[in-house]
Amino acid sequence: MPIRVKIGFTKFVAACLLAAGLSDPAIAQNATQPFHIFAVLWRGETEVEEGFRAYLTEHNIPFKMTVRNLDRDRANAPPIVAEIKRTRPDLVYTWGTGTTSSIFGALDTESPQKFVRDLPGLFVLVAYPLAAKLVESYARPGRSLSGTAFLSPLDAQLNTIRSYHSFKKIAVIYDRTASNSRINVADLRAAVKTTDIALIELPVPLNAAGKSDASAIVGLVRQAKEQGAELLYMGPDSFISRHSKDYTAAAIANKMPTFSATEAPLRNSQTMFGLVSDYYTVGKLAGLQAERILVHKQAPQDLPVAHLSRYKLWINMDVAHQIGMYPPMNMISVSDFQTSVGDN
Amino acid sequence: MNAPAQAAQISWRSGLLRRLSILAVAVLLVGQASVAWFAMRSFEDQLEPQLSQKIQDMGRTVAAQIAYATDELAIPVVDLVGMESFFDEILTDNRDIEYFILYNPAMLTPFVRGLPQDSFAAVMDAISAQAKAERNTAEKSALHVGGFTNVGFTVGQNYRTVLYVGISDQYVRSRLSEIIYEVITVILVSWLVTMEFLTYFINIRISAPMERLESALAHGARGGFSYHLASKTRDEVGQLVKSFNALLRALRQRFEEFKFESQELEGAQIEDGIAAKIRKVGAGIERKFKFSGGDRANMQTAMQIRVPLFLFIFAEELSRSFLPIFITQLSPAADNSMLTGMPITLFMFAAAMITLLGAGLADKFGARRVFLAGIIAAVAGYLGTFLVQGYYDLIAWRILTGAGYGLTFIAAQAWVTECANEENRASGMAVFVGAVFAGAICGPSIGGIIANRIGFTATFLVSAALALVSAYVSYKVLQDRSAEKKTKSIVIGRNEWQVLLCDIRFLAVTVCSAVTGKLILAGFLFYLAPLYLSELGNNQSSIGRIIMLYGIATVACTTLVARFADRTKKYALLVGLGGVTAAVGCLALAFNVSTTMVSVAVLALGLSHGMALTPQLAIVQQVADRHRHIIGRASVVGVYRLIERSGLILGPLVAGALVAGFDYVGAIIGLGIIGFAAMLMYFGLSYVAEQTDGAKQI
Repeated sequence: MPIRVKIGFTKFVAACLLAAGLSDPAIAQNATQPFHIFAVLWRGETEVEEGFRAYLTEHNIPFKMTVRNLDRDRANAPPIVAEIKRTRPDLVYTWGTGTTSSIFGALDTESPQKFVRDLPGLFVLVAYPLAAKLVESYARPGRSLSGTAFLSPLDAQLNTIRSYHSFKKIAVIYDRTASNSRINVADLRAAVKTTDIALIELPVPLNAAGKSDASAIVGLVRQAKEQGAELLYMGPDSFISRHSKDYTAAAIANKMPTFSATEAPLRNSQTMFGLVSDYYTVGKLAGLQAERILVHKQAPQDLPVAHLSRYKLWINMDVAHQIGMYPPMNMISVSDFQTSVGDN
Repeated sequence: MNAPAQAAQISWRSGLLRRLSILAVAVLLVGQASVAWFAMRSFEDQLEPQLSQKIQDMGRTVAAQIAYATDELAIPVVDLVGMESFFDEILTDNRDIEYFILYNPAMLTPFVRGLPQDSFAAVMDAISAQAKAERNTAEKSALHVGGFTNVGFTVGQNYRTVLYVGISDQYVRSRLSEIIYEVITVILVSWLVTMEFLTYFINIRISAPMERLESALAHGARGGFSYHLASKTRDEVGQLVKSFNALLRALRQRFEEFKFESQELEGAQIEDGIAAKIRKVGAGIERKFKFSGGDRANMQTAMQIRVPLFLFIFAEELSRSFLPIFITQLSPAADNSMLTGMPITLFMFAAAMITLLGAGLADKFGARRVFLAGIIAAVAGYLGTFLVQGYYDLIAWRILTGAGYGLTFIAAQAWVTECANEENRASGMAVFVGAVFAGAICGPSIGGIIANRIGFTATFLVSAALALVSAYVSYKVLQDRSAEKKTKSIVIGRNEWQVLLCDIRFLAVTVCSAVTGKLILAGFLFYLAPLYLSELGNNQSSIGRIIMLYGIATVACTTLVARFADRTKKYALLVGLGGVTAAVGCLALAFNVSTTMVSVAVLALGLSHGMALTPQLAIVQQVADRHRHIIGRASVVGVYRLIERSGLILGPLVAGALVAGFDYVGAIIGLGIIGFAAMLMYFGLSYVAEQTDGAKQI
């Protein structure tokens, strides 16, 4: 007799299934001529590249990879663009919104000569490729650039939040100067309307230089608590992500649980839980996209941006203990548990 | 020429069939029963260890998950969140597990899911007693309390936190009895199918040719030697028929020779007196013995249609026990009871329209072709249903199947009528009705068992296969009718309608009894019963078995009542009694609602129809006799059948409307009230008819 009980202790079990089949063995290119992939990264290699390489190796696709790093500064882009134009690789791989914009430029840029426009491109870890004007649509990018989406859908995030606990009021503290976070908050505002959750929006005040002021975060957390918020929501916001240690420490001090839609705050700070793409799996999905472009000769113009079908539910049990809010049993049997804080 | 037609009877008169049937059934029964017994034994032997193994596996797995939360994740057991939905999810997937209890002495209220309220106190007492007694042991002993077996599993390193897995002691027993029922059903149906085929082959291959031979011999005894018996088979009977034909041929030959010689002799005589004598003797012989004319015995017997018809009805009845449930699954609004009834009604409507409009088809194209065309339409309908996309195309496929059903019906009826004459019309119809009810017994029960295993749509594939077998048999066995034999198609004009609709007795039996009977049949048995039985938690196998009760009760009761009716001629009383029985069966649900009560109602409906069907027809025949100068008997029966069918069309609609207003039970009781009211009207009208008859006679 079969037993149907979810056994979910192993990490990544639920997360490692991709929307598209990964099993299609590619026809290897002429072995003497490996594909040249030129990767431009934002902050050095991550698990995404690991997954990407693993996919290509498993599918017997010969490649050599040139890796360049912007080191979190767009100003480092022009010489790399020049190098790409000179070497003309088979595929240009870019990590993150900043990298992708500075290598390929927006769709409607006034100076296309400053960017790579005529080589096949593939982006990863871009939260809002439409808003960043990188592609015309998810279904049809309309330029020589496709990629992989990585944010979990908002309604899935809200379902996760609600199945952890019946939260009624959540607060989002965000960087109003970044388009990514503004889009996210607008989407969130629309999404909570179909639920019984109330949303408190708390933009971080700007300093004299017109940038968001990091020193205001702790005060905002307290303010959220005073306004009755039961949960702090962290979207794809690189400012908040950068200051997540202070942010989450303040949350714990106020006995407030935190939820993140991206992996970095979960990995680098005391965020309680999140629904995120697994970087390694995103890398594998990017590998599949690369296979479509390189081996099956699909034009990136017509290659839809690929989505993951499963996301990783990540719970930091240390934080759960500190807050005193435990995940329900059904979550325990499927989650990936983070019980200690990783270093950066 | 009644010999061939007589062969149409299921001829128990020939001891051969009886003995063969008893032998075949006995052998079958012994074989099946012993195989079933051994299978049950090994199943029983395996079931309990399997179940206890499963409880062990289940208990360990679930306990390990909880231990992961309490030990690895260090969540205090009293603070565990969402245990209810965690347990519920496992319980819905594992019907054999009755409940879970997570117990720790520190808890104020343990996490309990699935434990019935009335056993709660006893089970909890036993558990807390055990917690005290076996405080420091990892292995907890099984507790038997309140009809349940509780097996405890310690959670993690803390021996005091225990997960109890509970199973009902009845579970094994109910699984076993479910299987025993299925085995009995299969044995019963295979017995019926064997009987059908055995009767069929003995009749066609042995009884019918033998009786033709017998009648030819009887003719011979009266001096008739003109026969030529047709025989296509090469078996023993065929050889015998051939030899007989050879004998007749030789006799005819010799008679011709004798005639020639006597004419020669006559011509050779000079004396007129002697010539006249010879002529007289010759004429005398020709008067006493008939050698010429070349009569050919008709090969067509009503019996030939029986197995094809049986197989086809079997195919259609396979879906009987689940069709309404299947419809609700496809329905755009599952709780709209009118939508659920619609495909059933439209099926009946299509069949009725075909029988009404297509009556002439069998005359034009021959019964065989129409029968085959009907099966092909039905097979297309079944295949469409197999691939069904949604509610509306299901309706289209059901209408197509209904049209096919109607075609096969008129073809089979035409076939039987062609074979029949005045004396054996009843036995010809018995062939027809017998096939229909054998199918009605086999179909729902086997269909339920099949659907339980392979699902609803795949069962329609089985229907298509069975119907194709029916097509093959009919293609092989039926012949295209000889051109000269034509049945008169029944034309019902305004005049006939007028006469019949003014006949109170006819109205009473047709509207109050027959239409109401069919209305309850379609509304209750075809629609409400499967849905309600499913709601009561019965699986498809048991729903099929309960629906089968209808066919069994009808057949049993018809046989018993037929003798009584023929002896006493109390037709009106039986019709009334039948109607009341059906109504009482439905009304009984007002007092007690259970699967047993629904079964009783189904049984009552079967008994009711068993009582009423033959007497109804007898009354209609009496009516026909009274109007025989104006209307043909066939026309009267035709009108009767036509009106009766409206009950089948109305049934699901009336039932649907009742469900919309009340619930399933209310709707069944509603049908009972309709049945009861109709019977009151029937008795009233019958009384009036009697009075007026009496007045006329004075």
